[in-house]
Amino acid sequence: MVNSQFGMGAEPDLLAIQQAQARLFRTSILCTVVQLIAFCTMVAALGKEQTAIGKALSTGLKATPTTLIACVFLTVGTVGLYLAMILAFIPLILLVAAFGGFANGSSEALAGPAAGVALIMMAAMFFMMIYLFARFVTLLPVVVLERTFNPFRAIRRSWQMTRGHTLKLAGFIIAQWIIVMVVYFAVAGTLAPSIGAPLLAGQMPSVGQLATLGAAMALFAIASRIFAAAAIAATYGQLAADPSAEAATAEPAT
Amino acid sequence: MRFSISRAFDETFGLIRERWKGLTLVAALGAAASVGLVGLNLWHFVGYGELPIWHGRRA
Repeated sequence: MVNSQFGMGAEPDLLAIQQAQARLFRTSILCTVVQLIAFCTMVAALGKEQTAIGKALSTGLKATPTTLIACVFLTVGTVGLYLAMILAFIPLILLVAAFGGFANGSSEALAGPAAGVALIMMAAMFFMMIYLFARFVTLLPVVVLERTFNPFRAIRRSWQMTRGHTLKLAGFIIAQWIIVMVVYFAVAGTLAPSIGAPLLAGQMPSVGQLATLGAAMALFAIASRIFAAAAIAATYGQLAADPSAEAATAEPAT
Repeated sequence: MRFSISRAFDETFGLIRERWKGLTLVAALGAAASVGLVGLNLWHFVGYGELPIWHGRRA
């Protein structure tokens, strides 16, 4: 009975689910590419030349493969760095285990020091992330505005441009995040009660309420992307005007 | 010349003020394209929703 109902259909259904998952994965990749094209276009439109949107889109399309390769390369590098960092923390964890919990013979005594080590590791990862963000913040403008379509040259150029400015760039990035988070919580905090109240009462929110929340979140996403693109373009504008950055540009050619 | 955070903010908002129409258009088109792609995908996903187990429950 069970076999006739589920057994025969089980394999094709699993296949269908796997296909649907694969489709979801492909869609998410495609969405990322579309967002990247839009972001490259926005940065292209924010250059000193005040490019028209049509021309900016063409530049954005040309810059997308380079940016994508550079991003994949940097992501792989960052994951590698994180893994190395975790491996570097292993001796510290073993030390804590040796002098802490194992000495007392209880696992509870280990909880405090282990949490401390985990906190230090997370802080180190956070600072590493901020540092890398600061060093590669000009990557996209270098590709789009300088038309450096070699991803590795663009990575090197961004690294050289941001040298000596890391701390302030990190401060600027953190300040942007704070602004975006404040706006996000203001929008979500204003609209959440109208959605949350019916949900808590065991009812579905109305279509109007859901549409309002969706529209507000879409507007927030658009505004935050515009802000991010303008901030990146402004950062590049300042650093490109720096004579030392010009010297860094000349370096690869020699 | 050192990087200045306050100048970077000034320039950021200056750029947004100058080019907000074009930027909004591009960002909205990007968002719409993404929403369209996800919508299309969901449509297919709903198509896969006709599993025998669901028929069984309905029956």
